[in-house]
Amino acid sequence: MPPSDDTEDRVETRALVAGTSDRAALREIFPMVYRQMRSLAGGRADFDDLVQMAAEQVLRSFGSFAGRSKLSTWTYRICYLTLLRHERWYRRWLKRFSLAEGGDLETQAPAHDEPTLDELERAARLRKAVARLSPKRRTVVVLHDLEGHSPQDIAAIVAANPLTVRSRLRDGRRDLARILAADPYFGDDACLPEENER
Amino acid sequence: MSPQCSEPDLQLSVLNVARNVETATPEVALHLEQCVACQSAAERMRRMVAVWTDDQADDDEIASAAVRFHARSAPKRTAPGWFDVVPFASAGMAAGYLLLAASGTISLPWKSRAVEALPPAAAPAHVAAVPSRVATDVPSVAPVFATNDENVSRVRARPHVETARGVAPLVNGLRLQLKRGESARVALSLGQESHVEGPCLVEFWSTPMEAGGWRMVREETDVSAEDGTAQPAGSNVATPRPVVPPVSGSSGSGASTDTTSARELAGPGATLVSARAWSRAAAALREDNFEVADRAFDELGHSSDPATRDAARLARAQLWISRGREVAVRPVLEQLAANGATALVRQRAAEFLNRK
Repeated sequence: MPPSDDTEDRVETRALVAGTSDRAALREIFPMVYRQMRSLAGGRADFDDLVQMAAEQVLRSFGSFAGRSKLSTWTYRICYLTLLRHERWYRRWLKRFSLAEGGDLETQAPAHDEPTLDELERAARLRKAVARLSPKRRTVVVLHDLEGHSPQDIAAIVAANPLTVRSRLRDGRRDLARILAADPYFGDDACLPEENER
Repeated sequence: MSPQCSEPDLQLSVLNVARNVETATPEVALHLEQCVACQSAAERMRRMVAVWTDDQADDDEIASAAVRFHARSAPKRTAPGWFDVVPFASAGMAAGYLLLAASGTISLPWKSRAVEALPPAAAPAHVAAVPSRVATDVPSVAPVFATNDENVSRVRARPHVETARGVAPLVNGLRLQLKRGESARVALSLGQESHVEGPCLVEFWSTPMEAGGWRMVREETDVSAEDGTAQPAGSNVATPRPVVPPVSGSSGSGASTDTTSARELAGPGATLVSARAWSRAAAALREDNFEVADRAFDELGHSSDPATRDAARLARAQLWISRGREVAVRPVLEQLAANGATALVRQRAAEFLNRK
């Protein structure tokens, strides 16, 4: 979720840039990068690689971070660009091969929360459906609908006009609804008002 | 047919209201009251947000990811050296060599070695029938053990496997057969170690996806006392095998997780990848390792083959039942009993439902 106070976030960011080593900075930032990449690309077999690339990029560029935007916006942008670059590379690479079997990231139940198997499967299905959206639409839908970012924040992250963001959001929502149409929990039938009242 | 909203612009506002980023204007509220499509879309949005919010990474997950990140962040050289061309040169040589082999000009040395190391009968029957990239892309390589002290210390400086027979470097596709009573120590460059006990076949694959750069695949083998030949356990699916001991706590619920019968439920659609996941699950159950078994079943639960997927879901449900989590798996069992991919899965799921 986005930080509530912009000013405070920027002050903390400057202090972080000024007063910490790369390693310490990464220790502070890694959880944020991990969560952000998980939002954009969780459930993929190459998720760890994406986290690795994004976190290394953050570490490399950290010295040049000027604090003009929120730190979370800056890291989100790095995650987004890493994902786009990786998907472009992957599409080119994939043209040369055919895969024997699709890979899904394993979902593991955290022991202390004890979610039900049904809940785990729902979350896995949702991530799988989100992963089927195009990278640009997926990013906007995840950031806006599921993470609660404002269109202005998203425009800064994806470096696009807010109107473009809204258009991607509309198209992404439509695509996601179509993908989930037959889902037993998120599908049209399951979400119909009469179904809920029963 | 799913309902369609006649006013898509208003639906955008409805969804924003459902997401709590906008307050409902009278116009939106009126539309929401009348439009079934928007009510359905808003409900979907609420469900997605709830599921997404519950599925966030916890501290343990992030901590283990940080460990993996540091393990994979080896110090990098910045100045290029002449030896930077070595990987490209090696790749070129290998490509040329394979080209010559493909054209029949030369023969591949590992063909004969692989045949010696593993007779054709030793390949799992159901696996051999299924084409697999893992099985065909890289040939299996027999270990080459270091012969003198100097070589041994050189091999030990890099990722290697050590057995009573000697020390051999890890190479892509290395296949090692361990007999009963034999064991091997696998050491990677970052100081990670693991021990493998025979009887089993172990394969090593170079992969950047794993911490340490290597993936180890272990297959149980049945050893014949007379001639000492080994066969992967999975090669003999039809032969009755000892039932995997139930996970602790299973006696109370009467539910044990038997991966052999689960594999049989999966039918012939199982690939080599899923066969290995079943083996992993079986080994984990024997060691009473819930997490690993659960992960293996989860992996199988995403299989593209419906029979494999539903058999794995059933096995996972049994595993959870054995941990006293009957309530959590009930919806899955009900779904399997109603819509399971095979009659046997539906029957077993129904039996479990009736038992409780």
